[in-house]
Amino acid sequence: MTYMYGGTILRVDLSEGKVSKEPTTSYSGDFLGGRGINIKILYDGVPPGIDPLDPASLLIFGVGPLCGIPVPASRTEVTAKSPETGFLGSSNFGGFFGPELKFAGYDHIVITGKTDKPVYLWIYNDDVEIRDASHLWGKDTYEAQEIIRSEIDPDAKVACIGQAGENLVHFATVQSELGHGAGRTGMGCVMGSKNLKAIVVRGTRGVNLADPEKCLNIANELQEEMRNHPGVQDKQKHGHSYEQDWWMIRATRGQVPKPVFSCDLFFKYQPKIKRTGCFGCPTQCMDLYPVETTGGGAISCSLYITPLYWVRNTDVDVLLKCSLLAQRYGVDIDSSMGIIAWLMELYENGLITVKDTDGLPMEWGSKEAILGVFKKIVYREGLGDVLADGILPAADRIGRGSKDYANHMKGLPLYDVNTPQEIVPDKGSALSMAVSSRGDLMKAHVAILGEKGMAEKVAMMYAELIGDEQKGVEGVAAARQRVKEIAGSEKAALADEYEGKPELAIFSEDLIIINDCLSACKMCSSFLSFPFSEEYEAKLFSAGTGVETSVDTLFKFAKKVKNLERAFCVREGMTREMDSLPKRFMNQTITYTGFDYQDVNNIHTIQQSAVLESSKFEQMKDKYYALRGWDIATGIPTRETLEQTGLGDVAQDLEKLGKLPGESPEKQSKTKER
Amino acid sequence: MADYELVLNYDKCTGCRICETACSVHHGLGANPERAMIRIVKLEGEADVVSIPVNCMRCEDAPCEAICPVGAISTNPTTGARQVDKEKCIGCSACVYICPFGAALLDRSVGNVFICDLCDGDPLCARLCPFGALQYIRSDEVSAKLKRARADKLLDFLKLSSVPSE
Repeated sequence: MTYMYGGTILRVDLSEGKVSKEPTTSYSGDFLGGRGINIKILYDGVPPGIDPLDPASLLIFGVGPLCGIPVPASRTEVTAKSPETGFLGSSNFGGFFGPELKFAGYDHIVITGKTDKPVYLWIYNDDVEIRDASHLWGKDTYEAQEIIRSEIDPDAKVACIGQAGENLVHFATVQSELGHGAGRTGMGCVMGSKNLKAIVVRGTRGVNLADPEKCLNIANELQEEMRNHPGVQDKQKHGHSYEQDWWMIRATRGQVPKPVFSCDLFFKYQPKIKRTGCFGCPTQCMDLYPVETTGGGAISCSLYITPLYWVRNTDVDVLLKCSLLAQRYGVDIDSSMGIIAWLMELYENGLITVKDTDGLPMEWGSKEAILGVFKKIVYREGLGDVLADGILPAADRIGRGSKDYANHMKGLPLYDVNTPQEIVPDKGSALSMAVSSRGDLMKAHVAILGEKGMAEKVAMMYAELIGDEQKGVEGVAAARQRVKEIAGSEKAALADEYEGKPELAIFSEDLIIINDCLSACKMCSSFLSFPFSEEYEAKLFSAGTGVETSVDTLFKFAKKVKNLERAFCVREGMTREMDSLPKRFMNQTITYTGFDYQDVNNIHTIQQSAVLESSKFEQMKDKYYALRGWDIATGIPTRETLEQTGLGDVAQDLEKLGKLPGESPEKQSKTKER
Repeated sequence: MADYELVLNYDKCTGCRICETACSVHHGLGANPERAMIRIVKLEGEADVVSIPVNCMRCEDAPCEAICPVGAISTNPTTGARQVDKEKCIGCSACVYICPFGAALLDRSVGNVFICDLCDGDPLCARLCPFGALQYIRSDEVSAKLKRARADKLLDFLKLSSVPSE
């Protein structure tokens, strides 16, 4: 009897048209689930240096053991070698696809090969078919899902690509329903390269639990805590919009002059917005817009911030249109807007003219420029064909020093409000971004902890919401105490201090890995000071599987997964030098409008400045590598660390490639330059 | 007449499926919405979605009770919920087909029919619903509450008119 897991890993070879199955237990004892098992399968299954779009590349979907019980754990992790960065591709999406896959009896789908003609995968419990999808090719993700529902099963759940994935845009997404997407690192591009339009699943088996009553009691406790949390209650009323507004003003250090979502136009939409979200979650944080003028759809999270911020357009209609189109087309809005903003800066500085942009003047905030280039990227038209390969290849093609203007980390354009104003005074975020396995903050968000971090923002914001300032003070004090416990000093809580940040970065990375292995949603977790803590996760996992598991054990899994992910990236050529920030973040005094909210009764703006010094930044990295057990000079896991985390075979692999630290200089010099 | 009713407020349901999953676990059927007695039917358009809770409506004149050839279905006098005598039930599906709401579930792995029993008077789904789409309220208040909910909606329009200042 399989408890809590679906039990089966489904392997699909599209070239051979064959399907095979293996038990999840081959991996779960060592790698837990979800993101952890995904990276193990990827590492074992592809050779170093493989082209991400080679038919032999693997595309892996994975859910974790907590997926399918009534808790906020609906996430499906998508893993592959990224066409956008050349390193680890890693992105997850929520909704209802993950639980359905679980109910059909599967924990992972591993796809290799490529078909000649478009196909989709149809999974109904044990039965798996590869079917013709020619009539779906060319349709956007909303249209395709509508057709699939009417043709196959209205209760089927779908993960699919849009035109961007079909056209092999290197930052294409995998979408599910109206607003769930594996948004970053181009997982949709890998899917498109296999001519796989969609995975359609229907599962009626359910999940067995070792101690159902205990599991349900714990789940009920968690649900009650969540329902009573003012942050959850706020999102139940306003989705992310109020939180984003609050965050935007404070986090952007006054860069956004007027609260975007408090504007009249936005509130015109508010009454019509319905709530939607993910399986098992009481928050339902997504906004469902059945509005004619913009076209309906669901929006949440960074889809609210990004379109406005990078391209300097504050028109709500443009925001909604870009967000909805990004989901229909199945393209990463962060990368798209990052690239468009980059073009706008090049244009402002005279490095490009309208001759380079098919006649489109790239004025800051121009609606024509934004929507025009966006569509060109999706269809690889004109300039879009260059941009669709990603910001670094585009910079190589354009030349003229355009690369220096590119705001990217390892080829991944920065997202949200990650500007120098935001990051330079926040040393923890600066470090996390630099060392991230994927290139941005999502997998390494130190911004949760410490001063001006999300934990404190959340405490303050919710105190404001419930009108109890004392709660805010207590919340901040509790958050500071937590930081002190993790990082060992009170100074670590201060954003503009270098001290303690490596410890915080490691803690938050590991916490996120635990969530991603279990399918748990970060937004509900202690990551953001919400109730779905590691303690709850351990208790649920123990009751569901019947295997008593502590929080410590979960963190041990996290360290193993982290080391394997790093080894994968190192195998693909990642170096210590690449763990860095764009030039404009370094060694320059950044002035910004800050907020002083030490005294909750007197929150006011103040002019502040900060600088991120290279030498101190590199010292943080030294400490981070040392604490991780990685060689300080190269950022590569040492043999000792790999063996201690049960990855001795990986040490041997790196040794054969001449990349294991401590090897002879001759072997080290064989390392490929990227 | 039962003291309490499970009211389904369709317009509040967001389709989170917590009710379904908790119901199935609670009744010993594994975490499996397919085997729950409260079900959410998702009606999806190209760019919109509506979720409708479906449950036994505890008919006064129950077709399931009437059609059962072996008299396995009765009514709990306290909760008003249907009761299925598992010993008597022959698993013929007559009640499944006759229910106007599709609220009866034949589980062939177990060999008998399941109909919502309101968790014997403390429905778990209503306790867990985050948006009040499922409410277990006093029977004599149902009508008044529904009227009030309707009136509240009209208030949005009435509020637009300005109040003359003194």
